[in-house]
Amino acid sequence: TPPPSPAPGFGKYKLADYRYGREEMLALYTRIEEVPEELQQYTAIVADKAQDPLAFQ
Amino acid sequence: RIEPESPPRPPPKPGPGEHPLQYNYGFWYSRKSQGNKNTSYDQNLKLIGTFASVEQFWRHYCHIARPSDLTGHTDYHLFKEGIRPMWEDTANRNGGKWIIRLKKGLASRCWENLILAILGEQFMVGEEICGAVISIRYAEDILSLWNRTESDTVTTSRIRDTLKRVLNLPPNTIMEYKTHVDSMKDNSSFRNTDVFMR
Repeated sequence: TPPPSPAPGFGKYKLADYRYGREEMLALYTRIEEVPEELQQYTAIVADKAQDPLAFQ
Repeated sequence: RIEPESPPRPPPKPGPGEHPLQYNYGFWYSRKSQGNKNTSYDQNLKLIGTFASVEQFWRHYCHIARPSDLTGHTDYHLFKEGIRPMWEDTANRNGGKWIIRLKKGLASRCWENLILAILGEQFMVGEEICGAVISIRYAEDILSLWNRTESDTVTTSRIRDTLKRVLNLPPNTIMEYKTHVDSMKDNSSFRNTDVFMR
C-alpha cells in the first residue's frame, strides 16, 4: 500500500531545534523560593511563595 | 508615540547547563486603570521579565500569581522577544488570533497548558506563533493565541487543532478567530469574531 498522504501543510515548516513535550517541560521544573529580582517591583502580581505547576496537583 | 514601558535590558541567554528555548520570550502584564479612562492600552502594558531557557521560565512562572487569583480587568501576555502584545506591532499587523472563552475557574490550568505547548514548540508552525494572552474579566476569562499571518488558513487551522488538543477541549467547544485589522477597525479585542465549531 502507498504511504499515507501527508496532512496539508505538513513539511511546510522546518521542525524546531529545541522542542519539549509537556512532560519534559514539567520534568525540568525545580522549585526555587527566591523571587527573581526583576519581578520584585510588581507587588500586585508577584507570588512571594513559589507555586508548583498546576499539573502536579 | 508612547512606547510601552520596557526598560532596555540585555537579551536573556540560557545559563550553563540549562535547556534553551527555540525563542526568547517576554512576560507582560496589563491592568486597566481604575478612574483614569484616558490611560491608553500601551501605557498600562509592562514587560515584567524575559527568559531564554526552560529553567529561567520556571523561575519566573512559579513566582507570578495564577491568572485565576487576579482580580479586575487584568491580562497576562507571553510573547516572543521583540514582539509587543499590540495589534500594530510589525509581527502582528497581518495576523490574527484564536479566542476561547473560559468559564470562571479554568483560566490558570488552561494558561499553563497553553504556555507549556508554546515554549516547547508543540504547534509546529515555524515562526507563525507570536504569543498568547489570558484576559481576566468579570463573567468569563478569555484565552487568545496570536499568529503572524491571518490569510494562511492551512496554518490557522493547524494552530486551532493543536490548541484543542493541548487544552483538551471538548469537541463542541466554540472557537473564534479575529484578525488584528478587524480589531483595529472596531477597536475591540473580542467583539465581532468569526465563530468555528468542530
